[in-house]
Amino acid sequence: MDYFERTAREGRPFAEAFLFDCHGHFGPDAGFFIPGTDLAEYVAVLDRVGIDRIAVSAFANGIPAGNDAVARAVAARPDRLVGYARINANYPEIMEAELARRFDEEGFLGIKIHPYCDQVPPEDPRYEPVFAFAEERGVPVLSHTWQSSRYLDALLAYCVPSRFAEVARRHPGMNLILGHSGGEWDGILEAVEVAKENPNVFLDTASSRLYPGLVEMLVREVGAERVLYGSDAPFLSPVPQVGKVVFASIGEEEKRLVLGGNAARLFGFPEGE
Amino acid sequence: MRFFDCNATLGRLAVPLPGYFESAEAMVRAITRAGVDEALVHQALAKEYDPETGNRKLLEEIEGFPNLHPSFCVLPHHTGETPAGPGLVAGLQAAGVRATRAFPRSQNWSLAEWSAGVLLTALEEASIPLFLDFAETSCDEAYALCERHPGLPVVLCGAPFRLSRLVYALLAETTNLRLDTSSFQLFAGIEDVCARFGAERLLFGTAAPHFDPAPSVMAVRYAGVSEEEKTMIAGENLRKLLGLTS
Repeated sequence: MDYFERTAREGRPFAEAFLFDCHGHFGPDAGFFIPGTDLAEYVAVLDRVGIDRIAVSAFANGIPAGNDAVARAVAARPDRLVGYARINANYPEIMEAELARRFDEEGFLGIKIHPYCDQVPPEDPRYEPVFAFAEERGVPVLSHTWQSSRYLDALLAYCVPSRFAEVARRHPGMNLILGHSGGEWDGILEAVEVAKENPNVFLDTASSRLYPGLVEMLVREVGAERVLYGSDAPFLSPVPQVGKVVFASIGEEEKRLVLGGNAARLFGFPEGE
Repeated sequence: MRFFDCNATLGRLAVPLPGYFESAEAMVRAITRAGVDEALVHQALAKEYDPETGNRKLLEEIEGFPNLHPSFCVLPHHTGETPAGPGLVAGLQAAGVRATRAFPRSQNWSLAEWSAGVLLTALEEASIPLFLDFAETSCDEAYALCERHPGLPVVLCGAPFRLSRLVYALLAETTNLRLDTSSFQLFAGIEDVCARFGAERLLFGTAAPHFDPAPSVMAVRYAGVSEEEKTMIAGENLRKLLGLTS
């Protein structure tokens, strides 16, 4: 039993590891009630598990109000929160100013897009300035991805993993994180294919689906260096999301990479800071 | 703290997902690795093939596995597939079955009184809990069921975190409805439900083998509630519902 499993069984924070959650949010979401989203309560939840840092973006319609809320939270707890600038390609006229403000004035470190909510597929040319910016600055882009054959949802067509292959090829210098690794199993297999073909594609583990063997499969198929722990907090509690990795049948060093090392590298943090 | 999973499935599914396991042996191995001591299990065949066959197979499969407890799939009596209320309860008791599970949507019946009244009244009178998958019902139906049968312990399994507004209303407006924790992964959700409605309304559940049980154990272990509340959620609430002594 390794350090992570031992610590989890004792219910203690993972104090001897660096945990960096690459897929978080901050602020309200009109779609449902979320308790504990006050900044102090939010950080208290991170503390219980020992999550050192979390990269957060605004929820669905987050420009500019949601980005403002993220900026305030990051400014209040720069030791714990990292900002993603949420970009909506339906508003290309404010994109440039939004990116400049968030990155140059407020210290954001990543970009979040949501082709499902915004109903703009990733290959749409309106994203091009965003991807060019990310490539030039060396900042990661996180996108929501999802695919499911279990239910009908026409909007899924906007965010299926296969649509990101072209974007990743066009921007080989951009680190692209496929959020939720494609969601359900059919989407996950699709996301794995995109990642295998494109070394600049990373897969995050955030999902309410606690599939047995998921993390093991991702690590086996694309390598531990390209799998990132994510939680989708505060949509979801980060605790079971950490648990997916902690109890995966992979090596302790691989767990360290997935739980924090990879995200630290992508966001430009020296290890352990 | 002893973990007692209220929501696990044995047997072969028509559409298995990667990582799926189906035998009692594999279930015990998986829950043991996760730190779960016992599980209440139902049979996939009872939902997808035939309730009677599935229920019978369940008893055969768990023989020799004292930490697996059976939950029988139940139906209303009108078609004669299952005895009417008191007869059904006598059969459950004779088989040592302390919990039931209903699939009204998949099996095409209604939880409304005209369809399930006899069944639900019998379970209520015998205090035998009814476990109900969220995908098999609606919040309106679950509310009406709890209102009509306030003495029937109802456990709603797999309630998605996104439906927090509806789930909170259900908890507030009923006294006999509980939630399993398998899909209710709402941020600070365990803490908030405990504070508002009490720890007795939550039961630890994993949805194994659809889901890996270990992360669900962590969710309870790391919750920001008292050790007493964690112990209740982890297993004590379920043991009480099933009438098992600690």
